[in-house]
Amino acid sequence: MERLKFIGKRLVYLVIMLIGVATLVFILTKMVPGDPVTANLSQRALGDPEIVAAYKAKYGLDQPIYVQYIKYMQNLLKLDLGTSIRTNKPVLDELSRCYPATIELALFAIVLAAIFGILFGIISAIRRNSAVDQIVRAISVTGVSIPSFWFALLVLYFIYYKLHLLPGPGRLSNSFSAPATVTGLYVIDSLLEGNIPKALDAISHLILPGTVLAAFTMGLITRTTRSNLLDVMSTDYIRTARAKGLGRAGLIIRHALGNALIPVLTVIGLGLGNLLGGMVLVETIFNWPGVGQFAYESVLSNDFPAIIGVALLIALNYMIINTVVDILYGVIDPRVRCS
Amino acid sequence: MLRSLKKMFKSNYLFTLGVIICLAWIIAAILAPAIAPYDPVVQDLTARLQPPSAQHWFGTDNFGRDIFSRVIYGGRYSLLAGCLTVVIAGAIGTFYGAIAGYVGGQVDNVMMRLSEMILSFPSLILAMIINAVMGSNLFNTMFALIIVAWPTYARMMRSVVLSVKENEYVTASEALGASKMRILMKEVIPNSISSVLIMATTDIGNQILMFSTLSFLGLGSAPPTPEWGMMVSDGVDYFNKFWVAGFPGLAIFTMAVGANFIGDGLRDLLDPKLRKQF
Repeated sequence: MERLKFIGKRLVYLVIMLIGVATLVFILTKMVPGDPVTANLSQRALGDPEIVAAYKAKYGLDQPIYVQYIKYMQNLLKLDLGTSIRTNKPVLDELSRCYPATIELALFAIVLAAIFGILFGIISAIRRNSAVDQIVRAISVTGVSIPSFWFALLVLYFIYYKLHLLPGPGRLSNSFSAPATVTGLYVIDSLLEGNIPKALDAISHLILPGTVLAAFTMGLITRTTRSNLLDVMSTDYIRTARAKGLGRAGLIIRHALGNALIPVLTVIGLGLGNLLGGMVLVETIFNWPGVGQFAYESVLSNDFPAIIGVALLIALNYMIINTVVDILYGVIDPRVRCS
Repeated sequence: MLRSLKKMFKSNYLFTLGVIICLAWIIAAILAPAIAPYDPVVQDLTARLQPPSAQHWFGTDNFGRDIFSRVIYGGRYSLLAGCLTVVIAGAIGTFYGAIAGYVGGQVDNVMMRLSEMILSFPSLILAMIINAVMGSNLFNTMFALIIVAWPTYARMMRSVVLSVKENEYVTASEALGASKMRILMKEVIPNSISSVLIMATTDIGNQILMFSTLSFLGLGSAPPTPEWGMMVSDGVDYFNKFWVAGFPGLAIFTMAVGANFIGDGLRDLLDPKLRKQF
């Protein structure tokens, strides 16, 4: 019962935040200098008074601002995000086309970041202040400090262009055609087709952009794991376990890690949300047809309906991930629920 | 404090390295006209895309401009943007968070929900939107960075203030009849500021990265300003001429690494929990 109440509270909170974010985006769009009609309609459509009048009526631009706000919210509820000026297609269609590519890359990157981040963090904490610790810390600081656009260019230059070790831009090699869309994730769709070489090719295309994207989050996860593990290792129950004669490895794996990883979960959750934002650079450089590339092209062409769509989609993702992490947190760590 | 700082210089090599790197960049930025061998914006179309050599240490770009000189001058923009963003966002966040934490109740609730709304946007996307809405130039880019950065400080400050305000010296001040404003300025903020300061040091690196990222995306300063992010983006078109994007990228990287090393070191120094030996 208590758990349900906790989850219910988080969900209500999520809805309130969603309304808030949508309002924030509405305010931002009202800050656009100049006439929104000029900003949103193409030159040709602007010449036609009927289209202009229909557009104004649709978005209630001839109405007072609170009516416009209600209209905007109604359109959002109907999932009507307007039409992209650049591609002339509904923004929702564009987003659902790009979204799976982004999700595939983000999931790949977060798994990579979590595995290596936790591993490095543990090594670093066990061998505290040793040479290994210093190296791991240097790697994690590098991960957090390296500009991702530059890192992307470096790996493309050396690993793809000079050494030909891994494929470069795109989701698949030219010799393969895109798999039939089931999930939109190429690796899974290729496997569903039973085409193993195509799935492997899709995975090999994920490695370079995935690594670049994972670098920052991996650095954060390494640091969090290290400092939490060190905190937990100095608690009484660990000292007791040690006094009982438990070996160091057993101590860490069986007793310390479980508690130390709880805050890491938050970092992974937040990291996944941030990855979706960091996509802009990586997707642009690796020519990855996802939401990030779409966002970048939309910003360059001042395509406001599309920009708003992307902003809402990513904020929605971010908040859902946070809520899930919050709920998981409460499930894993009873202390959180009690407070 | 001073003694432990001295000790840290001796024992924590990464911290010392960070200080050296950052000092070097600051000096280079201040003395740029004396150090840079060429004018950073003067073009020489006869010397386009030349590889690094004795005349041009870092080579030249597609307009024949000396990349070494441009990198040296570029430090001015990145440092200025990074530091100013952190100072302004830090100040806004500090007061906002302190008020929310000290006053508490519904005021706190509403203030924190407002800041969380901004935090629920990935920072890069929000900065891009603000830039797109306002038009891109150096000033607007910094404005966007500040808008995105302050809520993190506010949250940090609030969480510290919540515990600081329970201290007896605050109660004593209240009993003496000090006004809320006075208690906030004289007791609460000075005793809560240290964690915000550590966060600010690390954040300078982040802000330099964000600033160069926006410039890289074409949302920062206008050409021919020698800004690092924009210089890397110039190099994308000359992919096989590694020096065009390579050196400005290295500059951003070293600056961010330096700031992070310093931030890490300070955190170790001021957080006694981390000093405990395992």
